[in-house]
Amino acid sequence: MKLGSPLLLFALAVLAGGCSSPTYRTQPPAPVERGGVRSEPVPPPGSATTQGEPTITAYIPPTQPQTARPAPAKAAQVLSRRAEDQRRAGDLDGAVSSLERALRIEPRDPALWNRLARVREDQGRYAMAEELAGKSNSLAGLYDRDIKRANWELIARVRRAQGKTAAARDAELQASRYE
Amino acid sequence: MAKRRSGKGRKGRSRRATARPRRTLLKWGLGLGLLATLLLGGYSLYLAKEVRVKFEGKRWAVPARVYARPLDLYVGAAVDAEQLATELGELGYRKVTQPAKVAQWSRKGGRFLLRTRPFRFWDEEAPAAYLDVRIADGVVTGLRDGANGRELDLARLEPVPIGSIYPAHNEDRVLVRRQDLPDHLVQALLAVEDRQFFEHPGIDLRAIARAAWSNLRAGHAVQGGSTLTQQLVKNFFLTPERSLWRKFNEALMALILEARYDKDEILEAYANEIFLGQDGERAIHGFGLASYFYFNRPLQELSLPETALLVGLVRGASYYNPRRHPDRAKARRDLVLEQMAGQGMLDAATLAKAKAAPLGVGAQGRHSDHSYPAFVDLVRRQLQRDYREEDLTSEGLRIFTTLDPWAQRQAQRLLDDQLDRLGGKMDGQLQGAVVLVGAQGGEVRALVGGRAAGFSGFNRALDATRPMGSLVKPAVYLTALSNPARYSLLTPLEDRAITLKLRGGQIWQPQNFDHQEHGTVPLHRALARSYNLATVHLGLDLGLDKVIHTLHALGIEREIPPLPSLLLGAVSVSPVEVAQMYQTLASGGYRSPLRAIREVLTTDGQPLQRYPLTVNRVVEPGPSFLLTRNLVEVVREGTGRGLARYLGAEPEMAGKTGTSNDLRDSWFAGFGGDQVGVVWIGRDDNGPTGLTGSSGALPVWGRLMAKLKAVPLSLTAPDGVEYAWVLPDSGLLADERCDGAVSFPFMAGYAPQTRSSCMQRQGGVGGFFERLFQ
Repeated sequence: MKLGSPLLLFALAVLAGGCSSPTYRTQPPAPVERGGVRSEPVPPPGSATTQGEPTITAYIPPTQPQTARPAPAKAAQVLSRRAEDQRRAGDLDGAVSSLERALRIEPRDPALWNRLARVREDQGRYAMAEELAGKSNSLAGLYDRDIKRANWELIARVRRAQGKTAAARDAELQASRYE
Repeated sequence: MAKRRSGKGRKGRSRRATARPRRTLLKWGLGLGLLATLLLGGYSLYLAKEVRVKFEGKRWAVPARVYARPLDLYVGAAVDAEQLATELGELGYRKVTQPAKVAQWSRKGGRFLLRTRPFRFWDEEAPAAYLDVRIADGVVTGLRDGANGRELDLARLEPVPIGSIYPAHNEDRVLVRRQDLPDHLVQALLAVEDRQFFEHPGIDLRAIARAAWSNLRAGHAVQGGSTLTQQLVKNFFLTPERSLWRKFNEALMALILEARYDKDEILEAYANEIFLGQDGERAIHGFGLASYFYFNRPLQELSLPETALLVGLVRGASYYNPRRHPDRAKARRDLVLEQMAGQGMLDAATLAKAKAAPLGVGAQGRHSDHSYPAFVDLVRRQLQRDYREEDLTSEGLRIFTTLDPWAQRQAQRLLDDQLDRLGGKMDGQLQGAVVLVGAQGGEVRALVGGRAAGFSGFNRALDATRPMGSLVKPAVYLTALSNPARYSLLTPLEDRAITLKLRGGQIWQPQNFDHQEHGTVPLHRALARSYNLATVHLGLDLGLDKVIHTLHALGIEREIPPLPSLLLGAVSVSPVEVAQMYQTLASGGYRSPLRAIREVLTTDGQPLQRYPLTVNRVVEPGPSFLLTRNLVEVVREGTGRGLARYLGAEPEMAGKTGTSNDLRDSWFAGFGGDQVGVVWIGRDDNGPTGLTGSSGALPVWGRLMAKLKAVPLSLTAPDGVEYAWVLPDSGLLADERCDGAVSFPFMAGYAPQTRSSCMQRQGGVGGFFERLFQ
């Protein structure tokens, strides 16, 4: 029953392969539970259940986040690319500015947090970089394996750069989980 | 010796007798003259030094200018059409039918055409742009170059100036350079104040004679003969006393000034120094600031009649105050225009057109500190940590902040509305505060320190420290959920009466809000319904020190005495401290110190300091996720369910109500995906309000989030969290086919192990695969 186990994660990934929707898209909508007293039961669509419909709780995220914005803004991607150009040109302060601006547009995009961590790493601000990479990981979904790997690799690098060898090895191990 | 001689001479030759004293007088005269010249020369030298020091030294303390955040425009941006119109208005852009010049805009329904001003941002020099923006249903749906129709990825408007930090003597100014002074301004000035400015040496004898003659004929002073240079000297160096000695000094210093500096330097100094109005305690000096103060636009964008009005104010900014005495001001303006025409600077048609124009003075100028006093106060306090007072008030720093003026307006309006609505029974004693913060980075977007009307400077958002009531409970439950071996969302808690004997012999008997005991309740329900007794049992079980540790980790920095009553919120904090605590919760346990400032630039646009986005993991992501799901339950089914009125059924938002003892403080704190909001309502005298968190503060929060189209939470379970089907009453492991089974998140490895009997009846591969999709 542990969804966290690697085998099940793998199975899940395989089953949902090709499906671009987030993890919970197949969930029934609008969970209703009021103080243990069941209100109108809502049969989950596509459920094989024919009797004894389950009550659905507040804990299942809704079918799809009702966002006020359509899709991730292209503007954030443009800024991210600008930041990468700036970083390569050695304008690290400029890259930070561009990425922070992008993050105001898409504050929950784990890729942007990873990019910002990367620039901080280049600046030698290792503690900051590690925190930012951790933040990126916390926003990364089940399928953002590349981002998680990149974050753990970054964490490993900055730990090593600070001489924290054992901790760096831990991070490398984490990174290898997402290869 | 001279005495003896003259005595002799008086008796002797009379011719020599008359000549001798004359020579003596001459000698005396020469001597005295020499002395006077020496004295005058010395005095002049002294004055010259004085003039030089003041004129070339730091002539003007230029206050730090504070800006709001610039508005980013891109396809998908959540920008309301009304918001864009308001922003353009605040920037002093003029609405026209077809924008042809810079700082003009037009609107047809949801389509805006606008020409931006160039602006020096901290990270780029943005040129003027012509934008074609389409907005539908509060979202930007199109962004193009207005000239060629090319699609644009991104554009930003210059930020709205929201205030300045000026020194103790309350002088404010926006510096203008000589080359920025419009020709018609210089012409108007010369026409009415000093026709011979470019010819005279500092004083104008003809003008003095003319003025004297006019005054003599009129019988009283109607005209002054002071040159611009003399006026500058008067403003610049001298006290306002009226005396001959001062007149003499003024003339002498004017001559010195003219001798040392050229006309353009003097004109520039004059244009920046002259007093042109009073805004409460703030003195408006110079044409640069006056232009913003009266017309909300830079000087270069003013029309001829508007410029003439400013020039008219030189003679008496208070007497001709166009806001208070529009008729006088118009008469004065027209006189300026006529004098210009009289000297051939305007033709008849231009004169007629200018005189027909309305005054055009706005109700309230920008560059004023009145619009967002609480927020500017926060900015000032944050700056004072890093800068010396004199640098802030004199170096002309440019401070770029995080304020969202639209959000700020909505927050202020919604708070005021609610206070008015509730005010009936309280006759105006109700006060409140609102703090709005970016969830993922801790940027302060809005800060309301009290009612808009009569804001006296008591900034409740920062300085009203009040018991946080049940807002503290998430810290208690988070402490529990961080120990998965002992607690999950389903752990049964005892909601039963408890009597505690405190140190000092006092007895503490907490009660539930409904004065009932609810028996054994699952942990998540105790938080959702804000049960006090269950929380006290839980908190004592955990240990007060652990709960205090969590509060500190979340960002409450003040000392918290380890008393059991803290579990029910007998911890006094300010709204902004609550905002910090909930920001940490909203960002999944990553605290970002609240920031009101992004960048500081020097007066010539060089980056001085950035306040970067930082995060600091203070809570494990797993427990933080469980708590957030529980706070969503608060909003959907618990004490926060009133939000459905504003946000629709089952909002994907997390929040908590708070009510202090005797209904003194009404709180609501909560967050969606992109912002954290805290609302407090109470009384300055700390009297009872009769309000709970859900009757006072919650409606403000709900309306604000609805108005701002707050993005809902879109939580992804972090690593280390798993969902399991359980029977909520027994807490047994089940699967989705079991009657009444619900899916709950657990820390991985800590889902219930005991299977309910219903699972034994089913099982099989089908059930297994069904579960995978949950």
